[in-house]
Amino acid sequence: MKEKLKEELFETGKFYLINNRYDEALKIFEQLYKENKNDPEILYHIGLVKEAQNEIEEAKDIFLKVLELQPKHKLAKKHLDKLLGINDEESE
Amino acid sequence: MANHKPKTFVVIGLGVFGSYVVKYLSKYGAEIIGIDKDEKKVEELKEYLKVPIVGDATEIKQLEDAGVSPKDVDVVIVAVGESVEENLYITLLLKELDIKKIVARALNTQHAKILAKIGVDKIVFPESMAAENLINSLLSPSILEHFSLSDEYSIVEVIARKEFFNKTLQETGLRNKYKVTVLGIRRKSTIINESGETDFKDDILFLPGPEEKILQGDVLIIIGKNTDIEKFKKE
Repeated sequence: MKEKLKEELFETGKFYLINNRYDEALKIFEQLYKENKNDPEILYHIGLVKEAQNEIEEAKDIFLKVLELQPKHKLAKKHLDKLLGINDEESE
Repeated sequence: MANHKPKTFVVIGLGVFGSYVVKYLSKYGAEIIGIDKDEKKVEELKEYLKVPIVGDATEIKQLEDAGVSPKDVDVVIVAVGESVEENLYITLLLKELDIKKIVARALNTQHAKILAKIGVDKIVFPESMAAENLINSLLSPSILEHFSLSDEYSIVEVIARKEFFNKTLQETGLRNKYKVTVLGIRRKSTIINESGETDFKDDILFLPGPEEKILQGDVLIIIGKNTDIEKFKKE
């Protein structure tokens, strides 16, 4: 996939996500993921859609995968911690 | 509570937290296998357990002999609270056995982070989460939080069902048909933060009016009699 087309599709997916059109956003992000399996940003956005749709178990798995690809992905960590009920401030 | 066959749970570690979990699960008709090294603790909970086992759950053979397999059990709760190492080791064995759902008790934040890395399905801090809340979330996955107000009334957070999407509260008939009241709607809105990253912002609409529409992804905070909440959940 050409870089420019990838960027345009990614922006379109984000547009759908911001407008709460989760099914359309998911379709685009999943399409992008098929051809960019090692891109943590695409995977992170799939996780966001799953979380928005309250598919919590799937969202957790996806955020974990993002962290495997990019261990310092702050937002994936934040979302995973939230879904797992971990609050650093509580006990650190 | 459940509207299908009773789930089978395994509770490993029958100390204070584990015994609360066992008692509450048994109250809701679940079938429970209880495992602890301490014979006295197992004996004390015998009446609540379908299968009481005195054994060492850090040995995979003992877990297999106890019937801990993905085919036979729905959820395993690692309630061991004395040792982080033991707790983690048992959790790893359960992952190896491919258990469908593993809930593990965390003793501190570092422990919780390791459990998250291992990939457990739910992590609980017993000090901050009542056993009853845990049970409700396990028996009714669509219920996110459960606060008992009295023996008769509760407040629950529940994921909005598909058939409610794009309907107003009035159209859903929640109040008339189920006799529960929506206190609030938790709604995520997607934002682009200052660094240009996509994130969520959680908003709560308190005391929404009858014309408020329910959207996909909404979580409803409802109050009602436990019997009415049960009825609502079963439909």
